[in-house]
Amino acid sequence: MKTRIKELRARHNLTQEDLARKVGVRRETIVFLEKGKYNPSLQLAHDVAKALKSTIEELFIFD
Amino acid sequence: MKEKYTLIFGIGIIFSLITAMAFFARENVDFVEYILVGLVLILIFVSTVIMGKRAKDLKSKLPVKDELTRLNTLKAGYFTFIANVWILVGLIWYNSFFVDNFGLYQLSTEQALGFDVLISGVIFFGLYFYFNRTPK
Repeated sequence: MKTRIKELRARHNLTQEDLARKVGVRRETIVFLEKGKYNPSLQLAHDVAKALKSTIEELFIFD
Repeated sequence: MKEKYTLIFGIGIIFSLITAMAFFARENVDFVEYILVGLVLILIFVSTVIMGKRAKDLKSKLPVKDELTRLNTLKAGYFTFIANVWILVGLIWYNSFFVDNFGLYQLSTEQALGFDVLISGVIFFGLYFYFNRTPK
C-alpha cells in the first residue's frame, strides 16, 4: 500500500506532530502510515483524510 | 489526566522494585537468583524507557496510546501467553528430566515461578518493541 499523506501534509504545512495531534494518534503512527507500513482502521483513515482535507481514496493507493 | 496518574503509578512501581532489590541484595543470594535479579533489572530498565517516552508524549500533549499501540500490546500479550505455556513446560521438563539425568541445579518452586513470570515479562517487552518497530 502506498500513501500520499506526506505529500498532502507538506501541502498543508503540517509537521508529523501537528497531524498526530489533529488526528489523536502518536507521531510514530503517522510515520508508519506515511511509509505504508501500517494499515489503519477505517476510522483513522477517515480522520487523516479529513485532517488533510482529502478523501480516503486519494490518500491510500492499493497496488 | 488518566495517563498522568498511570505514569505516576508506574514510576511508583519502579521505585518500589528498586527498594525491594536493595533489601534482597542484603541477604545471601543463590547464583540462580542473580539471573532473576538480572531479569528484574532488565524489566526496570525497559519500563523506565517506556515511562520516559510516555512522559515526553504527555509533555508535548500527544496521546500516549492509540490504535496501533493497543494492537501491538494485544499482539505481544497473545504471543507472550503462548511463550508462557512453553516456558512452564520447559521448566517442568528441566526440573524432572535434566536435574535427574544430568545432575543440574534443581529450581525451587519460587525460583521456577520467578523465572516464568520474569521471562514472560522480558518476552512481552521484547515483542512490544519489535511490533512497534515493524507494525505489519
